[in-house]
Formats: sequence, C-alpha cells, structure tokens
Amino acid sequence: MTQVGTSPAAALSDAARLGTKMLTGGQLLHEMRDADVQIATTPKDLVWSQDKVSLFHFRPLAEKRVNVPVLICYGLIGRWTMTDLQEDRSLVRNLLNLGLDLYVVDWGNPSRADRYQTLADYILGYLGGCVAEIMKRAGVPKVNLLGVCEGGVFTTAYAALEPERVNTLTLTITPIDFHADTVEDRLGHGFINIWTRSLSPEDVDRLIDANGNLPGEFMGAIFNQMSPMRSLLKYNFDLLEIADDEQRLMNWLRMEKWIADRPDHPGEAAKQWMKDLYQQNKLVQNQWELDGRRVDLGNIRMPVLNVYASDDHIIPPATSRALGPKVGTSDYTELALPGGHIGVFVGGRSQALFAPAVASFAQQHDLTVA
Amino acid sequence: MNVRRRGLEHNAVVLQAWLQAGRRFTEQLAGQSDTKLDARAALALWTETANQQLLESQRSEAFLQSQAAMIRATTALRMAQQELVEHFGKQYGFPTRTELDDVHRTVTELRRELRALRREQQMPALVAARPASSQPLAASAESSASSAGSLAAPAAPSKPSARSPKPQPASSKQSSASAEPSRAARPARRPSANNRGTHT
Repeated sequence: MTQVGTSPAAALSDAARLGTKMLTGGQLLHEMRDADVQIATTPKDLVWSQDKVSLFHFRPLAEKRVNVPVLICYGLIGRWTMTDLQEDRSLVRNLLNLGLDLYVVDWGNPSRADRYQTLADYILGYLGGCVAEIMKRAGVPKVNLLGVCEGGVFTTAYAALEPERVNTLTLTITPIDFHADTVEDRLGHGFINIWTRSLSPEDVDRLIDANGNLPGEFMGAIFNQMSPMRSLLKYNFDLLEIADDEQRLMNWLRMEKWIADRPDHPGEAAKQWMKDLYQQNKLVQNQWELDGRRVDLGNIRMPVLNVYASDDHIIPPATSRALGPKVGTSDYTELALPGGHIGVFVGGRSQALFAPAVASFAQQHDLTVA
Repeated sequence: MNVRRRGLEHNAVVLQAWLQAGRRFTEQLAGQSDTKLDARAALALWTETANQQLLESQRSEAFLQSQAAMIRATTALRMAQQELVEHFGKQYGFPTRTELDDVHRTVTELRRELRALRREQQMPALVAARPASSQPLAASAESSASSAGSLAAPAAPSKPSARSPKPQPASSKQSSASAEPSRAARPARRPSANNRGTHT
C-alpha cells in the first residue's frame, strides 16, 4: 500500500518555501494595477467604424512585402486580442515583421440592444464593410482574409458568397463539419459539440430569449467544464506555483485578462450559430443560408490555407479538415500546428511556424496593383 | 421548486462522478508498489484521475440530460420572472422588456437597411490589378497549387478523413506539418506621417 505523506523535516521545509512564495506573490499582486497588465499593445489606428464594429489598421513594423492586405477576423466568442497577447507571443507582430499589411476587425461589446443582429449582419454587413474599406484604402480589388475560430466560419461564408473580393482565404482553428468531433471521439475533445447536440432547438431558443443574448459568462462556464480539474486548481495551486515569478505571473495575468474579456454573443446570431451549425451542421452540407443566399463551399475558388491545432479540444482537427474536399479550388493546403486551441497563438513551437506560413502563402498569391 | 429539483438531480450526477473519482484514486494508490508518495505526486495523481472521471461523466447521457433539464428550468424561471416584472411595469407605466425589444428590433432593421444603402453607394469600383506573376489571375491560382504545397517540410501527404465525402488528391490538396523557416525581417521603419489616427 502506498503511503501518502512526507517526513517532518521535509514538511517544514515545504511549508517555509510555500510561505515565502505566498509573501512574495502577495507583494507582487498588491503592487500590480490593472493598467500594468496590458494586452494587444501593437500600435494600430482606427480607420473605420460602424455601429459597435471597429476596423483597425496596424502600423507597419517592417518594409511591406505583400501588396494585398490581410484582414484578421476573430469570432464573437472571445476577442481578437488573443492574436496579440504580448510582445513575444503575438501573431500580429510576427506577421507585421514579415512585411504584411495587416488589419483587424473588433466586434465591440454587443449588448441586449444587439440581440436581433444576425450572422448575416456580421458577415455580409460588417465584415463586408471592412473588406470594402480596405479595398478602397489599399487600392486593391480583393483582400486576404484570415479567419480565427468562429471568425473562420465568417470568412468562409464571406469567401463563398463574395469570392471576387477575396484573394486568399486562411483559416485557423475553424469548424466546418460540426459533427466531425465523432471522427476521433477523444475524451475531453469536442465537448461543445456534444453539449449543443444534447439540447433541442427549442432549448436554444428559450436560453437566448431568456437572456437576450448568449452571455459571455455562460460560454465561459462551458469552456471551464472542458478542463474541470484545471479550472478548479487554476486560481489556487497553479497561481501559487508562479506567484513569486514576476514574469510568469504577468504572462498568466495577461491570459486571464483575455479570458475575462468575453463579450455577450448577440442573440439571433447565437441561435444561428448553435442551431444551424452546431446542431444541424448546415455549413458542410452547403445548406446554410445567409440573407436568403446559400453558402456553397464550392464557390471558394481562391487559394485556401487551412491551419488547425493537432491537439485542439475545442475545435477537433477533423471538424476543420472537412473543408478540404468541399472547396472549389485545387490550391488547398493544410497546416497542422502543435498544441491546442490557444497554443496556436501563444505556444513557442507553433509561433515559429504559423506566421511564416501565413506570410509565405500571402506572398505566393500576391497581386501587383496597377 | 423546479429549479431546485433539477439542480439537485444534476448535482447528484456530478457527485456520483466525484465518488467514482475517489474510488479510482484509492484503487490506484492500492495498486502501486509500497513506495511512499509525496504530497505533490499524490496531488498530480488525484488531479489526473479526477479529471479523467469528470470528463467521462460529462459525456454520459445522465449528465447531459440533467444539465439540459437544469438549463430548461432556469430559463423557464427567468422568463416567468420577466413576465411578472412586465406585468407590474405596465401597471406603473414603466417601459417594458417587450417594448424595448421592439425598439431594438426596429433599430436593427433600420441599421440593416442603412448598411445596404451605404454599400450600394460606397462600394468602390474594382481597382485594375494584375497578378504578381505575368500570368492571368486564374492561371496564376492554378499554377500556385504546387508552390503553396511548398509550405510543407517535410511534405507529409494529408490523411483523408474517414468522414470525407471524397478523397483528396495528394498532388493537389496538400497537408503539411510544418512551414518554411521564417525569413529575417527587414529593418523596421517609422510609420508614415499620414498614418495618424487613434492609437490604441
């Protein structure tokens, strides 16, 4: 029988070490202010806005090597700031350093007043507005789209409906076949898919109607369920582990700041997201409609780079890779990055691969503007 | 009452998972050799065991059904509360949620129409452009298929998914496990003078 325990001397030593950690960590946290924990610090300019949506243009960090600008489009769950979490963990900075002309759309903070906004409003309306603005500013006939997660679905739909305005489509950790979580069926992977399918369409309607929107906190709780013990130990054992290391503590706080910034998902758009896509899986079947227009993935005839995380527990790889056989181009490339859903953006190994791949892809398909 | 009952039912399912996790943990301790396990190693074992058990439980029908029932009960309660507030609100002449929703719907529809009108007016004419290569756009896209594949190093062929409706030709649609090495960034330059705006 295994005994759990330790010797009195070792216990005293551990207690002393723990006490020192707590004191140092307490002091660090006491001295820190919210303003000290900064994310998304890469300089950028607001160039266009409509309602709550803002389009930012990043200031260049290197000589421009690609004529066609890249627009980063995150989803309505979470915020794009994950792509620029901190200086040494920033997809945005890496892309700028490789000479890309970079824009990002921020959806703002939807409130109950936005409950009737649909995905068509976001995709054909706001995203379309951003694309038009970039075309005008850069003097180009089309743009490169880089969609992330739900934002990848937005860019996929946009590329299928307005293919003449999209030069290349790069997707990152993007679900296309929402039922393909069953392909690998790994424990702890694809819980959102399973959970959403456990509800009826009426359950989804009532959940949204009762709250107006899909509350950010609600989705946060679902995400916490996906790694239950980690969620329970995060603010005690995990925090204590790094409490006396200022740099690691700051990294941790930056991530927490991003996690805490979880806007509500507009109600009607959330109904479409959960029912049309997660439950009825219309996108991969070419049955999804926006504003009465069918999203036919076969219309995606521009070059496509599909980036997925090989250990993604939120968007299992098979749900992303389902795009390959559906697009209407032979210029389709997949890139598997090591790590999980967030590790793609902050992991050291994936950072070394991700931005160069995106930049190289954009460069290979660049246009010369007359 | 219904919320409480559904909450208790769900908690009972979760409790079962915790109890099962505890059983597994003690079994694992008993199954190990008679070495002494320090507190840190014991915590790691417990965390791993409990996590595994909780994840298994979350996928069970019992968990999913009790959680869905709890969500149904809480949303029903919330809607009943709103109905009650609406009733009293009307009596005292306060604007109600229904009226606000009505306004919000109208505003959303007006915004939608406005956006469509703006789009029609402001969509810039397509700027004349030619591809970086001397080939026409379409030809360039086709020919770039092989170059896009050069992202792959090593060029591991994509494994077609078991659910894929059609197999991917390895020569045209490619998969890669890594990318070409980063090129050295050129020296940074200062932002141009006309690039002033809201610095965030």
